[in-house]
Amino acid sequence: MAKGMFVDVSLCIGCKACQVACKEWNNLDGEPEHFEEVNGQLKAVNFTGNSYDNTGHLSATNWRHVRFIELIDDNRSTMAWRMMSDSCKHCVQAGCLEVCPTHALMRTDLGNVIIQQDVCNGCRACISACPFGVISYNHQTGRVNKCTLCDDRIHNGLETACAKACPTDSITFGEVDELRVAARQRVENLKQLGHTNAQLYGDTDILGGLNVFYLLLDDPEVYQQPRNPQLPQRNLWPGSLLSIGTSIILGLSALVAFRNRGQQAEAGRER
Amino acid sequence: MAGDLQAPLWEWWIVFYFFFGGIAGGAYFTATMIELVGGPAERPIARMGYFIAFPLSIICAILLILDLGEPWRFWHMVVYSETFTPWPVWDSPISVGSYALLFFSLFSFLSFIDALIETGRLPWAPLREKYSGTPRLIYSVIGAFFGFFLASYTGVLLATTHLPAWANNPLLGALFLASGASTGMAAIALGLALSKIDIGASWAKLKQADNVALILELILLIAFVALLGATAMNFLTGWSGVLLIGGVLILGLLAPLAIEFRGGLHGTKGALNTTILVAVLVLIGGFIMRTVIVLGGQGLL
Repeated sequence: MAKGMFVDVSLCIGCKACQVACKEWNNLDGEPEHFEEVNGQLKAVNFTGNSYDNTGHLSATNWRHVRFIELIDDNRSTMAWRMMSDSCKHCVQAGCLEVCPTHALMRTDLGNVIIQQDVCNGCRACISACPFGVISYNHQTGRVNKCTLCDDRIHNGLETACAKACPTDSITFGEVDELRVAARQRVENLKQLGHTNAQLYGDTDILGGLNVFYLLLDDPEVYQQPRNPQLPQRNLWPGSLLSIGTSIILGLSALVAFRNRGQQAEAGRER
Repeated sequence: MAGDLQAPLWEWWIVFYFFFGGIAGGAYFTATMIELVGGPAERPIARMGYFIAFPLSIICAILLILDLGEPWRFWHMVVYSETFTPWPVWDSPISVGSYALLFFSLFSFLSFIDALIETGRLPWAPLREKYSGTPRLIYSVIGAFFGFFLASYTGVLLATTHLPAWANNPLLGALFLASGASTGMAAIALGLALSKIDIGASWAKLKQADNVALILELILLIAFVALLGATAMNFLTGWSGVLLIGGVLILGLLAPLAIEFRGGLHGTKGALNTTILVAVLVLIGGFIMRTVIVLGGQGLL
């Protein structure tokens, strides 16, 4: 049975305990761009300037990123503050896994997608194959990194570090099928409470289902998520067939240009 | 699309790889067409194609390796490192392309040796017997298949991503293939001209084939930009726009075609200079096109 996480953004308070727990458990370095040595002391620099967002995006050393979205209308009469703890979605149809030429990306028996660091050769094909911008290149190791769904923890009967640290149970870990049942019920409850835009993101309708899926209070675009992500292979066959067509045109034109045997035979007959 | 899409950071190694891969595939394909229908007068063209294709295939492999984050693991592209067995990933253009480059190198090596023997540069009798006649045609045709693949898969590879400038239409493979053919033929023409090998009336045949490739490339380039819609601004503004319109469209496509159709420079020396000028322009255009599409598509220009 696939394991995964249900992230209920309606319960997120933006405390970033999940980010810290992820960093600690996975022993991830600080982002070099956010630190600078000034007079012999390490200082934090390059703040994002975007609400309480301190990383701006996922990266090779930030496998979890809490988004802060401030929704203020034009006349500043209403305001909503959205938070979303984002990470790898461990898609059932994972584009990254399908384009990896080395088989470094693999799915475990629990359904999570991991990168085998001893196999990855840093070709970076997976980076642009992910519609969510999850995978990042690590300039220090020459390989790529992303969330593993705490592969070591979940294979030893523990929940993920982020779910364990979440103080409001906004992130819950468990069997994906059971989580989906609870998530659908939660959506109904929220709608009855007046959150008419509440919706699941990553139920079975997206890429065969996201093993890490979300309850959003607004449309996916508000949370900078693609509404209808596709596998990158959608262009593989159209692109290949057009290339074959072009090769036929080029081949025929070259055969016509360089034809010689027919001309020689004709010349022979004339002689 | 989400605002957080990440670029793979493919930079100059990949630009050069795409450029040289296109030339190698195009030059080999030209040589194969001559194997199929050409006569003795066209043999120097075929040989030049082989002399260009094999060294470039080796350079391509080196460039691909240099681009890796872990260059010493280059062999992981074709052999699964946990079991030491070949394991191609059919849905992965990089995986299939790596095998194609491997096989193309093999077949272009055979043709390269063949051309050396034919020109007396490798005067070893047993080899001369092996590398002639039917075998040459067979491995040339098989090699041309991999050459075509090498020239076009790089475009399909870019289209098989989520970056809007690459993924919003499926024409990149076809465009790179047409460019590979035109630059491959231009490289052959340049090689022949600089080596002072006169192929007489066969120049016209080579130019005719190259002109068709150039016109096809021009059509595909316009269609590619048109189909991109609003994303086309990635390629039409800033340095990308200057390079695409000035470098690719005008310098690399329209100028060579205009020179060719106006009859070129006159006289024997003028004709040679025209050949060199047109070939250089086509090669520059092909290189700039890879630069704009690879770097501009990632917002790196």
